[in-house]
Amino acid sequence: MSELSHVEQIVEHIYQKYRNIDEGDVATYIPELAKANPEHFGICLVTVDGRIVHAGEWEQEFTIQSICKPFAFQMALEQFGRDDTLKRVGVEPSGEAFNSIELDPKTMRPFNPMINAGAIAISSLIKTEPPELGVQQFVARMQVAAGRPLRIDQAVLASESLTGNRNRAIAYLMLNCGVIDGEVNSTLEQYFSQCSLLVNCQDLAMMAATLANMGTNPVTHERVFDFQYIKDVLTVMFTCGLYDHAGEWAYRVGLPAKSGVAGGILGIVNRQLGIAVYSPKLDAKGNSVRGILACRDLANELGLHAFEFTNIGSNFMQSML
Amino acid sequence: MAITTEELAGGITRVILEGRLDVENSPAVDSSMKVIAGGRNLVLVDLRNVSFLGSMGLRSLVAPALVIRGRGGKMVLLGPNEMVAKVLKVSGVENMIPVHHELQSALAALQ
Repeated sequence: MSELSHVEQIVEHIYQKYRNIDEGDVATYIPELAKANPEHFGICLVTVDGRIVHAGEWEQEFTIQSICKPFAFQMALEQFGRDDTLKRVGVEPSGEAFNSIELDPKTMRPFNPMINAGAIAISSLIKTEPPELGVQQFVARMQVAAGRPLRIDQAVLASESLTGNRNRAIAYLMLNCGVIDGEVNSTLEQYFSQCSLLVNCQDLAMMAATLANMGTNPVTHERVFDFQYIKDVLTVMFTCGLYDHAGEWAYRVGLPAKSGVAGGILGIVNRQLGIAVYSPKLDAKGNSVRGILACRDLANELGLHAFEFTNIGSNFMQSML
Repeated sequence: MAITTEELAGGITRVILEGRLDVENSPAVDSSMKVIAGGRNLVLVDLRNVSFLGSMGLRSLVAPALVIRGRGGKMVLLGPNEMVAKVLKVSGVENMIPVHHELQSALAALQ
């Protein structure tokens, strides 16, 4: 039996094990998200040599929501460099919920780019005036990472824009503190559009595998991201990717990851694997219930945790010994 | 997952594992191995009927091996299939716990 068929077996087993778990609730704070089918559950793994494993409803599309944040952060780092990007956003876990209206009291910056405030600051950096071009640039980059054409869900975008008063408040607070410029509407259009991108599990796993593969899509071999910033992005995902669940996640799963309120979770095993799980029922912290369980089992079965005893710290160091 | 033990001549305890040593089964293996590691100094773990070894399962083998070794005892593994042998090799565990493919050599290593 080849190695991948063991992985196929594991993925199918995890799908069967958790498909009937019925805990959690579909997000309703963006009304359009409440229409998701709570039964949907998909898993996809993509290796850096382009092999793909699926289970369940992996073709079901959903909006990327907060999983857009690491990619937008990557784009900002590429466009503005580390120093200028970090003038607008920190890299400290906040321990706060995703939508917290709070800036770092010492720096007056958002704590990190994975919470809404930080992601809005990043959207302010990569937006254009008028905003259509900035949105197109984001979608274009995501398409190359996913390896297929993607589109924005206009109904979700309208719903986000109409009800996103909390995000609007965060943006105006940051304008007041000098974190973002005065083009607040363009910034929010960029941010809401990013969040409304439609993806399926394979798209997310392919994007994750592209980050894992030093920025090159493992199937199309197109170069998508500048690899020198991927370490920055993975680090922030590791410490901040699951909001106020980030510590528990690092403890139990031990991978850089990002969740979204539509029910997606994306995880990365550096230089090896992209993982995506979709299931729209969320726990109280806004993370997919089945998604977390599936990722936990994958990490335990495949030894994925960064500090698993079988994972040697630095191959580079090995060569020096 | 079936776990059976038998006492062999020379104070050797043979632990026979059968089935998948995966996330589901490793807690049961953990508990059994903890008891064995607590009281036995010469342990042969028979893997000939283990079809799959995952990362948690690997821990269930390494933890008792370290306990037994720390007390001056020995633990060896017998007869891993191709998949299990590969996991033991790639993880470096075969360097911590000796792996034997024949019963006689496994028993000899424990003498």
